[in-house]
Amino acid sequence: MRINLLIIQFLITPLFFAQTKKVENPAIIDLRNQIRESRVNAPVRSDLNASQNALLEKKHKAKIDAELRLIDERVILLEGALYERVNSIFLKILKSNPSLPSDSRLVLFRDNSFNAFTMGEHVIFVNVGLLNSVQNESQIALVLAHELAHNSLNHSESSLVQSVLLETDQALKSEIKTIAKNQYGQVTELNKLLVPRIMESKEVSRKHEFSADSLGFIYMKNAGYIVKEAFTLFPVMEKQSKNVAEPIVFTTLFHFDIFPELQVKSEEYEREGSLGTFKKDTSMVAYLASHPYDRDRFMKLTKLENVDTVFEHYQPKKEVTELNTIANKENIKTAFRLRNLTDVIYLSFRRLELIPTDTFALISMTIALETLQFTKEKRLSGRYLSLQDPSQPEDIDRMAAFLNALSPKECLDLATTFKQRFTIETNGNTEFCLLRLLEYTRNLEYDNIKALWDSYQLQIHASSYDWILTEVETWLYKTKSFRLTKNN
Amino acid sequence: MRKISYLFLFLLFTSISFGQQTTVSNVLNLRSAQHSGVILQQDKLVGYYIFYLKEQVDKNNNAYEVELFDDNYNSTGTFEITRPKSSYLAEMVYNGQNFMLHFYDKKTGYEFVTYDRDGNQVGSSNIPKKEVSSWDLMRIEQNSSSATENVTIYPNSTEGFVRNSYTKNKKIGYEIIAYDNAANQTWSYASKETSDMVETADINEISNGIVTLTVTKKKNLTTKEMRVYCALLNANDGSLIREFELGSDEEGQRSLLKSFYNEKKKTITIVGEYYKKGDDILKSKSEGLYVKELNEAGEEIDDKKYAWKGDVDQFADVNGDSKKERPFYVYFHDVIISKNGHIFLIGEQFIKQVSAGGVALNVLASAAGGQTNAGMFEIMIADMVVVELDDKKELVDFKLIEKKNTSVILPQGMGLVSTAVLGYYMKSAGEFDYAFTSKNKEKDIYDVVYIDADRKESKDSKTKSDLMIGLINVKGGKLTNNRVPINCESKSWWIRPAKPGFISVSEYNKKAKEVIMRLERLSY
Repeated sequence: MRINLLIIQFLITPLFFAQTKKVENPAIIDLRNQIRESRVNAPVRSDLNASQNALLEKKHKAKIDAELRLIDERVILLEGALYERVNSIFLKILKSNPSLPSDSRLVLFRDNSFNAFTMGEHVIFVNVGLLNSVQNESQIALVLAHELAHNSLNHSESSLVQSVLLETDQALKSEIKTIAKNQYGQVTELNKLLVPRIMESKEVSRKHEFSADSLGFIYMKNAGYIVKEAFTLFPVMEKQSKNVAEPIVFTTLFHFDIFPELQVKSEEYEREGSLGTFKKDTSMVAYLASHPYDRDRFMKLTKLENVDTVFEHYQPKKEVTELNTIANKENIKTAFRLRNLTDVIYLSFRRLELIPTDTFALISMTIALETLQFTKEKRLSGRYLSLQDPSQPEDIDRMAAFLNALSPKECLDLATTFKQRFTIETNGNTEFCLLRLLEYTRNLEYDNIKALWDSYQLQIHASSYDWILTEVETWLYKTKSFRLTKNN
Repeated sequence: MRKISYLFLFLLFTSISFGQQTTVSNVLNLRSAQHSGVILQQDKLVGYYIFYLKEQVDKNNNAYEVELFDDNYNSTGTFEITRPKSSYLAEMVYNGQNFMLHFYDKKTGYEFVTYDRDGNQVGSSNIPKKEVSSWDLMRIEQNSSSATENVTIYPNSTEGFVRNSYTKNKKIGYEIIAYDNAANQTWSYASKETSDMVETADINEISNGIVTLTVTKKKNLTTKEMRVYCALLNANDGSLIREFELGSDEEGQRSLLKSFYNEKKKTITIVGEYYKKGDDILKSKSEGLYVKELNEAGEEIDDKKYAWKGDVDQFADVNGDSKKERPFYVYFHDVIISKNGHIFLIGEQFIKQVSAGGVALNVLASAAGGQTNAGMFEIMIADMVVVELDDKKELVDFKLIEKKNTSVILPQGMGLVSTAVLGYYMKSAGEFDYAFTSKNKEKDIYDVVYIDADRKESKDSKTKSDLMIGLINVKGGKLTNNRVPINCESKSWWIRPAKPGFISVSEYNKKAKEVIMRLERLSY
């Protein structure tokens, strides 16, 4: 879906995953090998000259290297219930469309945004965040089929070729050189020269999206997915793009009956930023967007399919599927990995609204609130809490404001209410170890901390909670009375 | 006029808010020149701005971009401005509807430009350099070179702005100038051109159509004999409501620390220190504090005095503590008036004493055949002081809030200067531990932030933080104090004022060339 932007982004951004450890998971090794193989087979285009083909090869290799860096155990999912569920849809589409390459692979990407993308090489990435919002299998099939269509239509290579042509355009180069020689107004002149070209490339990108939509629809239908159900994806996408919030009521889960002062804090929320709302120039947005508007895409496809063209008739049912439930759990894990306690608490909160007895959400909520208590006391929570941002959906923004307002004691009080609803076992489970460590640290039980540290530090360090351990370790080190020995 | 230290950053492009923290990339070094500052609205921090060069437009002009951030570091808008190369953005103020930007150009003088919230220029006005007083120029040049900013412009409700400046009178004078939202001058009130006194004014407050000024008058710049006046102006037309002297030869001089308008009672309360008959404000130690209440016509309704000896010391729990018995001077940084009518005077103790370090340095320098600029005297900065009066203006508390003493060795020759003057010197040099007060008048929350050199988290604790912030919190008229540890990863870090209740912690990552900014809550 968001292929072009992501490709560009991945090519130019030094990736933060680069430092993570290489792992021996066979599925990951296999996937890496598959991608690595295509590094050797760089495309050669007859419509490009030798130097342009050389540049294309260079860009192709850089893209493959970037894609390889994404393939990391901490960042992708290639197994588990969620993966199996989505992959079954993926395989069904492959099976029903023999023209699709049989080595096409699905990768679930641990990112909480609503997105899917491909960088070519028959590998389709779907963000876990997307799976938390879709409502039926046909919607997922449409997403997967769309990305497979990008691959079939070789859009990844087209984008590379487009950038090669841009970079090797001698007329353009000479104009840029002339501008660079100017002493004055360089930025304005460069804008004048390059903005039309950027718009042109965006137009190409939007055409790619339309063509991937059309072909993807065929793939999806061939696999037997229901057209009307698939169309309900567009209202979901519009809701995402417009940041529409779901109502959020803290009263019950955060026990305002027991802690009335929390209600006062929740009511202090102000939606508008301190400088008010600024009018933004939106005249160029339509031209600069890499993706067509959801409604344009919807209209084009409904006309193509000759079905009901009224957007509102495709509002999906408000229900939570089993898939959402599994995806939500992965979202919480991702939020921990991204060190965002606001997201952890928000996602756990939403999960507990639906399944009040969900142990994973209860444990996550407890860990997050106890960590918040610890970091708030040390005035470090600013690293792990989102600041308010009016451009966010209101429910998330409300949560951010509320969590910022909580005192360390209130965090602990709230954590206790969740902690009472599950039993902490001494079975070496990472989450339980962490909860025990946080408790021992609060109570300054150094012997217990040491025993736990000696046994489980590597286990916790290898998990998404490693940063919590680091904060505790740093603080204990600062007390100087207690030093932990690091295992190698 | 207050000084707010701010950071010079070389900010080239965008700031990225990635979840929890805001990262500004391409910060090549911390000393390079483009700059950032805070946006104030009636004493309350409502945002930040970054001003950076976009391109050279022609031989004489540059295009600049001003990016605005709200108090949560969200980028909210940008203005593109073309100004002469020698332009410098001295100040930005917000009145709830419009921004006023004050530019200074070394060649052409002052320019005031207003923008609405959509980034459209509303108006502008200029003051040619030859018409700007040399004192104003000196002040702005000093700010430009020392990375500090002066607050000289204040919002005049949402209708415009009021600016404080010096004039080119026979001697130094002052001028208060009002602008509408299109930067057109609407009125001006100035000291008499023919005045044979050195006259300066500070804007204390603008509310409910009244501008309250502290006016000081001296025969010449060097004299310590100073007379302090309070002037009330009509904020709509600049007409003088009343000017009166605080104190007199008969009863002794008075200083003015703060004035505030009481909306309920329609009165103006002024707070300051009073001096013994014959004593000078810049030379002597005050006798105590006073609170005077005036009606809107500037006529006195009430006047109360609180002597250090006899009144205030009744509340001081000395208990044989020799430190507490020392005859400290108090420098008052701010006055807080809460909604319940309680008045809190926030000060800091200081005293001049012989400097062991200064003496040692001099001995060492002499032994080595050289000399040092260090004097024999130092200023010892001790505890924070809070004086509290209730709504009936009865003295209800005097608190000494303990912090670690710090000393500042005075330059040679300064030892001869009176301690009272040294307080002003220390303030202008930023040597006090007091950092800033963040205010939210609507919510009646005030946080006084100061640095405590004792970095231990508590008396018994072995844990030391990277920085210990002292916090005096006044919420709903109730005062609490606390010590807040601040910890950082990077070696280069600093704190800045933030929205009320928070402190902004910035860390510079030299390797990644980025500044990571976060907000930490001060009080809960």
